[in-house]
Amino acid sequence: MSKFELYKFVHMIAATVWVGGAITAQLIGLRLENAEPAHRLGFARDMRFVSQWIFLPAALIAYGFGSLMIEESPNFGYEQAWVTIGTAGLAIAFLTAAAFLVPQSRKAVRLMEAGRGPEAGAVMGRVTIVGRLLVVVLIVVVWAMVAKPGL
Amino acid sequence: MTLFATLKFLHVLVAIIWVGGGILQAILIWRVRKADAIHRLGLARDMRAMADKVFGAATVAVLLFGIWMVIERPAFAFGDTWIVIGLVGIVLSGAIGGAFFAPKGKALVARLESGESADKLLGVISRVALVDQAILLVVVWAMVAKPGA
Repeated sequence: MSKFELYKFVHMIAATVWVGGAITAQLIGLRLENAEPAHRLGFARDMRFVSQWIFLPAALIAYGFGSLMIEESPNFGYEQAWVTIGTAGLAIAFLTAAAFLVPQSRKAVRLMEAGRGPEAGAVMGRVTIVGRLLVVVLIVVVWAMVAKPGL
Repeated sequence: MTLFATLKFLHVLVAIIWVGGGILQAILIWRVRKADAIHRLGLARDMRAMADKVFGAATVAVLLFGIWMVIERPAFAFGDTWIVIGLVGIVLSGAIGGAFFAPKGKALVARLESGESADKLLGVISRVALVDQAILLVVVWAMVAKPGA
């Protein structure tokens, strides 16, 4: 296994954990509208943990190993359209998750724990909408990585 | 976008949902062992619904798009080592899903609905999920490193 293949393997695993996990979380979230409050709270706690300790590190690893792949391959460059799309998409998704999704998820959990269900519901509604938009951004990134426009 | 690139995009996207979703589920199962009964039951129902409606279809779609890609590209052949590893891994994981996760998932929901904690069954499901994920990681490695290509 070459150095490039190793970087690609780690990049793909990290991206899979992040994107696949985020899509699955959204799909499970669709089922929660009529769920019991205790299950909603449990799932919100799970998402708070997963966002902070799984998705954010996975995003950083995907970006870091993607950069290593570009350095390693003579055919790849940061000015190529597919790399620009990928980098911009990852940056948007990472910053939105770190600045909005994680703190808002924490807030929703705090509100649920305090018994303020309707307020928590409003926060979770915003988190869900932003989360869905990010999933669309991430799917565009996956498309750019596969189709490689500009290469 | 060529037909091959479209097939590759769909193959990769569905594989990401399947493998990434499976890893997320394994993490949630690990966490739910310490959760209260209502969250346990809710998550068990969610997992069963995901297995029935998403992961089963994703397994078939990954396989079909992959096979179509091999047919479409003359440089690929079903006898190539990396494709054999991929096919065996996907079939094995699909078989584990159908023969183990589907019935055990139903049994888990039934036990939780009857008021049992189902700790032992959750532990077994958790361990088999790790084996399943290990198989899928080998498949991803084969798709990236392409041994025998």
